[in-house]
Amino acid sequence: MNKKTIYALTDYGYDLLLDIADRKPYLLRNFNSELLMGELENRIKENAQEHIQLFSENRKWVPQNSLDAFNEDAVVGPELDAKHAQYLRRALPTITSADMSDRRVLASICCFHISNYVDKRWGLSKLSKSSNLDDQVTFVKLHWLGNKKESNAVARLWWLYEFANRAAEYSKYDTNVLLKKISSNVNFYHQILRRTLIASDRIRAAVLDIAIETGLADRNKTNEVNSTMSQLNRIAGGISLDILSDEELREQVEGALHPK
Amino acid sequence: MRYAPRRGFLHPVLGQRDVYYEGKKFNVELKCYPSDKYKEILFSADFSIEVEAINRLIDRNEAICIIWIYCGRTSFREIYKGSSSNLRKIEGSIELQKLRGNIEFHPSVIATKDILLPLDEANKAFRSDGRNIRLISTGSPLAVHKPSYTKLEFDIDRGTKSIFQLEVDYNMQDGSWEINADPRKAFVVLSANENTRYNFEKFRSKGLAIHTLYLAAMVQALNILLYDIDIDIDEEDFSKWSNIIGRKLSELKIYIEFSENEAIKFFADGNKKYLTPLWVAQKLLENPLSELIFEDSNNEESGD
Repeated sequence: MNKKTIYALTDYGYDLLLDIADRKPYLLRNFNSELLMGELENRIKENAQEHIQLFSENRKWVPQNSLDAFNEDAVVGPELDAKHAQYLRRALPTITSADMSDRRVLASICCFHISNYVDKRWGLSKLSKSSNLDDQVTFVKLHWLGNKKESNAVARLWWLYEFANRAAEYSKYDTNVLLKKISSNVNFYHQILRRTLIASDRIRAAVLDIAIETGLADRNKTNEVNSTMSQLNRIAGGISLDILSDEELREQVEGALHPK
Repeated sequence: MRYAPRRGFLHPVLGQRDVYYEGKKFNVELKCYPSDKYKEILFSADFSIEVEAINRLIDRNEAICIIWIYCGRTSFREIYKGSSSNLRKIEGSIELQKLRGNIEFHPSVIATKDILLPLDEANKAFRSDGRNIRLISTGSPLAVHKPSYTKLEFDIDRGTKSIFQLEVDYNMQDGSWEINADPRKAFVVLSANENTRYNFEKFRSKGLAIHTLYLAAMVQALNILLYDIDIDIDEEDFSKWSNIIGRKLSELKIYIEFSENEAIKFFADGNKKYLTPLWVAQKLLENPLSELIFEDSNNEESGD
């Protein structure tokens, strides 16, 4: 089983990839990462900067399970996100949240380890099928090179698990239940990313618990989720939810998510 | 709950608006720095509250000093409270592996139960109906402070300008900024309007932003490197800003010559040519002045 070591890109390596993305985005989407590597090496020679490293020797991770599984098991759309999020976590148990918000780490994984997965996973996107160069560039920058938790392919999987796992400490439900709810309900995931308030593990757990109990999580209606979360945000503007007891917090969240 | 300049409350909140408690201040002295081994960020916050009514509530454990810390990149959000031995001082640490990029510190004083807030020191408007006491519910703010920000981008592969942590000092005079450096940290401290200007310029012209801020900061850092005897260079340890500069200098084959008889100087490998800190700073920042001139000439050509 191929457990290729992951090396974080250096700033220089990342900037070169950005440059390649602007001109030849198809190279990032190619399953054969050797072509991309060849292009990077050519750029270095052209710039006469052979002494500068593309990858950091000091920041590396050996996967516990091969990341090739992503490429082999890729499907179009979010159907397998929860399963893949669990697999990624088992494969990279020591990688930290600081690493997984670093675009040099994310780009390295997406471009040199799971490129086929990324391309297939986001195959529903209009940008994916567009022949326009600008659309292609936008597409690879979003899903291979960016660091947004909703759109970078590997960041999305890792953070889905992370949000569920951190909340599980305060929730009635275990990590797997929370992960399935968040990954199958994109409205909740986007609210988690958008609201400072829900970065609190305890508040997120209260929100998810009540959303599951009231069926809000399963209905997955954008307007309903957005309006209830806005209501909770308004409440949090007037009082500090962080210092409330569990019962008081639940009462406030219930008031916002399930008004009587 | 965030500090928001225009947010109104139904009860007086110290620090939120001057009219709530005329002439009374809420100050929080915040310190934040990395630990020796660079595994954690350490912070302390000293609360100073001029409203006696709020102080009494804190002493009776009916209100609490808190600071909530938020890092958007890593979705970190935690609250920290004062200890039982000192209710107005908060100390804590956070593992650096949980943080990256901007970190926000939000200090406040919060009611921990439903309380009666005496309004003797508050603006008369709050007592206009003849009452001088108000019921405040659990979780409500009694004092809020403008947030402080710091930026963490340290690691061995970051660009050289990442040795500087940008901080905003709201008490600093408009238009001013300064560099504060010690062996562990190098801060660029900006006034609020200078920070706004910097962020604007950064998007308009990367070269201009570097030229106006980081180049000057780097020159000052290099002078500290030359003349501060407490600062040395260990290329294996990237927890200190001086070591990151040291490693980059070696890559550029620029060395520091220490001599008992002459001033300490930089020189280039091979030809013993002395280099000024300004020249070295430009090299470390990958020639921002050239970039600036190049950008300007491009703009002229395109008619911008």
